[in-house]
Amino acid sequence: MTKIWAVNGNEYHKVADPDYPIVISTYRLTEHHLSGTMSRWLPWLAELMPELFCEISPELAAEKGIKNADYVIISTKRGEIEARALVTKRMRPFKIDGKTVHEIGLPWHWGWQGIAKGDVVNNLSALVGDPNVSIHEAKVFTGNIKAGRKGGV
Amino acid sequence: MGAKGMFVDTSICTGCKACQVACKEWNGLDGAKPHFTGDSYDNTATLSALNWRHVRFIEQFSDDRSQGRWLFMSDSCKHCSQAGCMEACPVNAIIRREDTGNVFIKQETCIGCRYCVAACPFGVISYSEITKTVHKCTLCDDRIHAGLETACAKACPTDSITFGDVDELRVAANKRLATLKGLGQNQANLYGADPNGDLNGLNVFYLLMDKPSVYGQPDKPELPQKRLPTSTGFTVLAAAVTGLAALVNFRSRGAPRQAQGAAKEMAK
Repeated sequence: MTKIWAVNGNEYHKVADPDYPIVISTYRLTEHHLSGTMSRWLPWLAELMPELFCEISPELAAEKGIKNADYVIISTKRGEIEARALVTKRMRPFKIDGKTVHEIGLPWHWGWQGIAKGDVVNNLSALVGDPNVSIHEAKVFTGNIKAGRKGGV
Repeated sequence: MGAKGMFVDTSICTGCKACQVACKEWNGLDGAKPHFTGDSYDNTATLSALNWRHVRFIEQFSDDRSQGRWLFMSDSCKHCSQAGCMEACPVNAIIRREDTGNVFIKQETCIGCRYCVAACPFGVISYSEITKTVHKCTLCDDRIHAGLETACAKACPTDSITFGDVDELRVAANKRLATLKGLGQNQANLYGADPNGDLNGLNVFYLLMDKPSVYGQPDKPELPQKRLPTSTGFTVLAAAVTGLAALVNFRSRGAPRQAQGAAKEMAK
């Protein structure tokens, strides 16, 4: 049960969309507060988590040719962002219906200004609301990932 | 008053880095240049003149992930009972506070020679290009002399870092170790808690969940000065051998000249 707003600029992926096969789970870190608008300006916190990164399993990294600390592009129908890859065994691929489904972890605190800068993860997530109070409910969604930087650098 | 110190129980550390921030705030240390390392959640990388505390992150997983754990260790100066930095300092800028037993660098006396940097078995002391002196954790010298605990211990939300009398902390540490061993954590060990052990014990000591080397610490910490007599012996020996070799060399160079002289005499 969710509220959806199917309008231009807010396209939703199909269920099990082959173009966006990867599960993206967003979360927060202890070092930053919410979208980081306060904590990214504090040198002591900025240095602890300096840049947007995504956590990916060694299996997915091997499949996509991504090395640890490389730049990656993460995309959904709604937008694309750039992040650094943190390859870790803490992330593990799921086996669902005999198929391997990869998940990436994406902390969420960055923006284009501050001492610690990074892309905005909300550029990826579509607008979805919970049915009672319409609070944003796209913490986990689907997308895709590839090695490289925005603008093809 | 007995020596003051800290017991860092890494088994209950959550890796939140509050200790790092509290340390910087209390001691007025600038932020370092933000740099993504790709080494787990550790973007500090090392203790430095700006980072007197550093939380290490160690990810341990078996190939099939059936065994896995994420180890954290909040590292700082250990305030060794036998402090290599103090012994190496040529101007007595590094002192031990008599009442609280912490090792303290007097910034106004330090000449920036960096002998202490090489003498620390743990790589704790760092040189600052800005102040041209060396820096490290002071055990919050100002706070503890005002009856407060260290800033990191104060900030630690799980009491993984506890401040107090070293004797009392050692008792608590041994009790905690026994509890963990009882739970089957056989790799758990105390690092620096034994007053008769390496460096006569560390006033800031640790409960580790694996070998010290896993946490980037020396398994058997010892002072580089320990090798001084041996290396001095080798130096003296080398000098003697060089001297002898030189004498032999001069003798052989002198011989043909004598022969020439004899030939001249003959010609006359």
